[in-house]
Amino acid sequence: MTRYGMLIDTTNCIGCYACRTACQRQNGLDATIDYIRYEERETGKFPYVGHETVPLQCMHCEDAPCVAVCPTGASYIDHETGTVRVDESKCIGCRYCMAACPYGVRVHNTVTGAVEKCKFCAAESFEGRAETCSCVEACVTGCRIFGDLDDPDGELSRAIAEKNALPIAGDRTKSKIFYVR
Amino acid sequence: MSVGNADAFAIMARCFSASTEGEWSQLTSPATWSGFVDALRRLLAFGVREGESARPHPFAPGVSLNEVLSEGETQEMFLPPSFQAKATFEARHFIGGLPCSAMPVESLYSSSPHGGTENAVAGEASLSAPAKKAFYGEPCAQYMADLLGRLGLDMPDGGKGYPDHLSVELDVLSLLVGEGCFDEAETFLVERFAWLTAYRKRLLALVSDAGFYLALVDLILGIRAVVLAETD
Amino acid sequence: MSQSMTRRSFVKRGTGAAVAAAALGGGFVSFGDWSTAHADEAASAEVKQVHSLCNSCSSKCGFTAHVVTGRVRTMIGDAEHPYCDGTLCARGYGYADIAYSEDRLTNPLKRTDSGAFEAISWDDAIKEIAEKIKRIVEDDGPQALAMIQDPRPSGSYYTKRFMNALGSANVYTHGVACNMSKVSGTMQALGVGDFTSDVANANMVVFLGRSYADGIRPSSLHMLKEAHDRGVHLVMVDPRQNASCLYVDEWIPIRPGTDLAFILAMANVLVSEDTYDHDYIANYTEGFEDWAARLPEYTPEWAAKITGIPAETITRLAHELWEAAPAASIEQGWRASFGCSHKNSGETARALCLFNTLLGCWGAEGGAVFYPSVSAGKLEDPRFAAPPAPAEKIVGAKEFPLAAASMGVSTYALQQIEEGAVKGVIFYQSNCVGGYSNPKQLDEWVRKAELSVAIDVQMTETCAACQYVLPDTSYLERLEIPEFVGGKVPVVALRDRVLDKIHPETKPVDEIFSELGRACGVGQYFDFTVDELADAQLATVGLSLAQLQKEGIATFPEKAYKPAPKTTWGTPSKKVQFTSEACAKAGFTPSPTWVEPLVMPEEGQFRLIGGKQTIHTHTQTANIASLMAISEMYGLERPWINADVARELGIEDGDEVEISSDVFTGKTRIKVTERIEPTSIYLPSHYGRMIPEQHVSYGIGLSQMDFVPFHIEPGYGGTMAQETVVTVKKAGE
Repeated sequence: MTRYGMLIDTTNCIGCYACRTACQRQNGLDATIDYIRYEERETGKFPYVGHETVPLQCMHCEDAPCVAVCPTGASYIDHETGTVRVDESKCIGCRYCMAACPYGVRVHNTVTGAVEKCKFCAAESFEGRAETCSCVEACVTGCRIFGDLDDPDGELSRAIAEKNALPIAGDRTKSKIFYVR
Repeated sequence: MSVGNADAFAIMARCFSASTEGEWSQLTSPATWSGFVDALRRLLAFGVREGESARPHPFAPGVSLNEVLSEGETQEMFLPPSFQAKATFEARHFIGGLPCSAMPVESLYSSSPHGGTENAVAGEASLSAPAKKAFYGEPCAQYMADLLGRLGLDMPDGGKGYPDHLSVELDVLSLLVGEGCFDEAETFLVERFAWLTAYRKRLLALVSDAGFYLALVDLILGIRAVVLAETD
Repeated sequence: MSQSMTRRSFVKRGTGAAVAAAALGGGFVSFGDWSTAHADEAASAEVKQVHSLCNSCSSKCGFTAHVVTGRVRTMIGDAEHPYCDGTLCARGYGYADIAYSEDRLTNPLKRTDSGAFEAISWDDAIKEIAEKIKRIVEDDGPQALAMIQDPRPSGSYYTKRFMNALGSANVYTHGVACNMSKVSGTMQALGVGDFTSDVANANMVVFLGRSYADGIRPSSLHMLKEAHDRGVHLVMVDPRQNASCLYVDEWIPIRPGTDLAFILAMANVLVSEDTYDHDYIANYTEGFEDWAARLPEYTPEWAAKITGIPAETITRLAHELWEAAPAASIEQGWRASFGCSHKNSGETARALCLFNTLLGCWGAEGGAVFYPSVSAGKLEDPRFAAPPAPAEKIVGAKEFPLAAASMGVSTYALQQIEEGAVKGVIFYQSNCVGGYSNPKQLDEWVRKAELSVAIDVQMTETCAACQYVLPDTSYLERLEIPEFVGGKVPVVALRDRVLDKIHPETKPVDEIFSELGRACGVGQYFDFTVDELADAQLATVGLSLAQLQKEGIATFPEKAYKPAPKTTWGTPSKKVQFTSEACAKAGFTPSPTWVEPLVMPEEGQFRLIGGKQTIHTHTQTANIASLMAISEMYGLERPWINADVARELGIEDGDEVEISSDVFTGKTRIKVTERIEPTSIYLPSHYGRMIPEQHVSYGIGLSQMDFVPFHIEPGYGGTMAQETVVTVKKAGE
């Protein structure tokens, strides 16, 4: 089995948005279609201030609320890769999945009428060319690692263990993106 | 002078592209132009088919010029602009990058597959100005470039950037009609000219008088409507 | 009517291809069928790979474009390019949109009597512009012409060649609004304009307003991260907690315009405690005693009052730097704090170099170093011979004697239109009017010129002020001459044609100036193509154009950097100059002393400071939809105000506020944050574009330079971008 996942080390994220624009460029998305969004947080008081940027995208949950609520089966889990996918031809644009997603990372495209999201483009082998996901390749400070969670010796699994990386909001949805914060 | 359907589309193509003074005065000579207007009437009544292919139109009773055009536009069609007026209009509007730009290029008026998100209402952005994030070279341009290649047609160097320019699309239509490929011509007409609804709004928003061009656009849309009704 | 006439429209039949009705019928495919087939084909479509250089900022990083059916599908940063080091930034991916932007200029334009632009033919444009140039040269001399350009490989070459051929020395860059003061002050101390802090190998580095993580050059950011991971002591002195602060140990907020006081006080600590590199000072410097005698008044307590930094912090940092030396330095900065910002910017840069000299860090591993570069050799072919050097110096050289001549004081040249000394001005890829100084003032002067020409890809504030606008090709559509880049391993890189020309009536810079040159009677200097020139230049370093087009970048490993103490300098004395005769002549003290900023905020006032964000480069990227979408979504156009100050003013995060200086008032939403010191308002430098032709950027946010009156830094020529104070109040109160 392959279960694709990712690690994002926010202690190295400068909030430069390169992952977003690279994702758009390499996957041919329009300027306002964002598969990656950002939460920003300021802590402390001047001049002792901390600042954190957290990039969020589809977590490819194993208990995916978006799949559970989808009335047409457009949202589904691909069992070969463990990724959550959208079959746009089945999507009726009801947006239940957007309401159900606890991470707010699904985007409704008003032209196609379908809901889109991060595809883990390397896993989907998007247009047959990606060796790793665009956001991973583009990250200027190397915050991201993509890999197979079922490969215990892989870079991803080792990094998750070593850095004690955790899902962003506990393990409620069994999400497959792990954060270092 | 009699002007065939193919020639009528070719003349329309000339109206949307630069021409020399000699060419324009020849096209707009009373004899040629009245033949052109007759051809437009015929196209509105019977669609693009002619000769043996022409078929009766039991369900589409034909539309006349002044059903498609306003009174002012009808007058514009009978009195085409002088060469100078046409050249000035082109110099002000058929160029890119200015507030009064109205390049007749389909890409700028077609919705891209990824055209907007929650906040935007599809299509609405192009009401008074070109859509906020319009680009040249959209899929319609790639299609047109591909189609020109398949048909053994070349763009002169001056036009390479805009295979989806209105005059190119009209020229291809003219060729299809001229070669008697009426099924293909009808498909092409229906598929390729829908963007003129958005382009029409752009022309309407211009300060200067775009009546002649509006009339032409309305005529193309009118002919398209006839064909749509026929093929339904 | 004749077939031949109607069929001479846009399309023509391919040569030799007899198009029969059957072929036409069979060749036709509907859009619907095509789209389906196309989607399937897309995955297997032929991918053309082209190496080129980005144009979203001045770094011009190398990348490989994967082009499919005429569109840039993928961009991959080149690993060997010294600036990009394998990764691009957000701007790089987004800026490629410019090629297909609906706002591209497509035809040469001339302003009509009504004030609107109309297309004219290239022939007419070149003829009319050349006639005016010739008349100005004849009546007023070639020095009455000025050229302002943002230096890119071909642009730098062709604009200079054109002007020199006409006999004019007046070729300016955007320097006055960028790093003019920094470079010029450094020149006075070291005889060279730039150095690099060896951050990755240092023990300690102090940054003054320079943020590798905001004005991103990826390799610098990689270096910063490496230093952080290695435990290098990194200190950021900046009024604003910028994005680089993620990697530094301490953020020291400073009142803007006072970096000079901070440096002088730290120098005083080292000199008064006799902790400095005596050997280096004795052997490789001149005039140290002069500075040493002036420093005692600059106590940490004195500086604390001016800078807002506690005296003990200043003393501690000086001690720490000395303990870390020679693997320590103050980083040189670029634009932000003293590139062109204040009345004391040039002197700040000079003092910074002298402070680093006390550390003995020049050329030391982990200190401040100079990376090697390679350049093209002499071209033997007589067609490439340079025009004679102009008889006179660049206009402004006399008035601003310390300003680097390679940049020139472009804003002064425009002021000379008012005085009648400059009659004609040409802009290449320069939105001078929109950003170099007060836009209203610059616009007024440009409109008074007898001749004004702007060459660009889209309308800008500068284009709007000119009589003629010539449409450039985008950076993705043109080949430029090779760019030699210095670095640990110097390289030569190439901007190549990634896409076919999109707009048939656009022309690249080499063609425009070659045609203008011929029309102005100096065609003998333009008797070659850019391909021929590029090939000839590359031949001098043992390469060819074809080879570089294939490989994108060539390295010169034999010229790679080797750490070695730097002991000879390009100054008149060949030593580091603590005293400068030129500075003394220009009205400064021989060695740098405290210079008050032009204005200081009083109670209730703030200094308006600028600075880059990660996703924009000044005004250049504002009209890119994918980048501005980020600004809009995250409210990045909002100025920053200190949280305590905001509370006193009754302002909450997101409130609409009114900001006023002596020359401008504007309204915008504001960001309330703990990340800025209380006397500053930070206004990101990318917004407030007022060109309706720019569909994306128009009317979003405010422009820093609108608030700043026209003025020029004495001696050095910088635009003094932060010499303005503003008041802030909640809108409607």
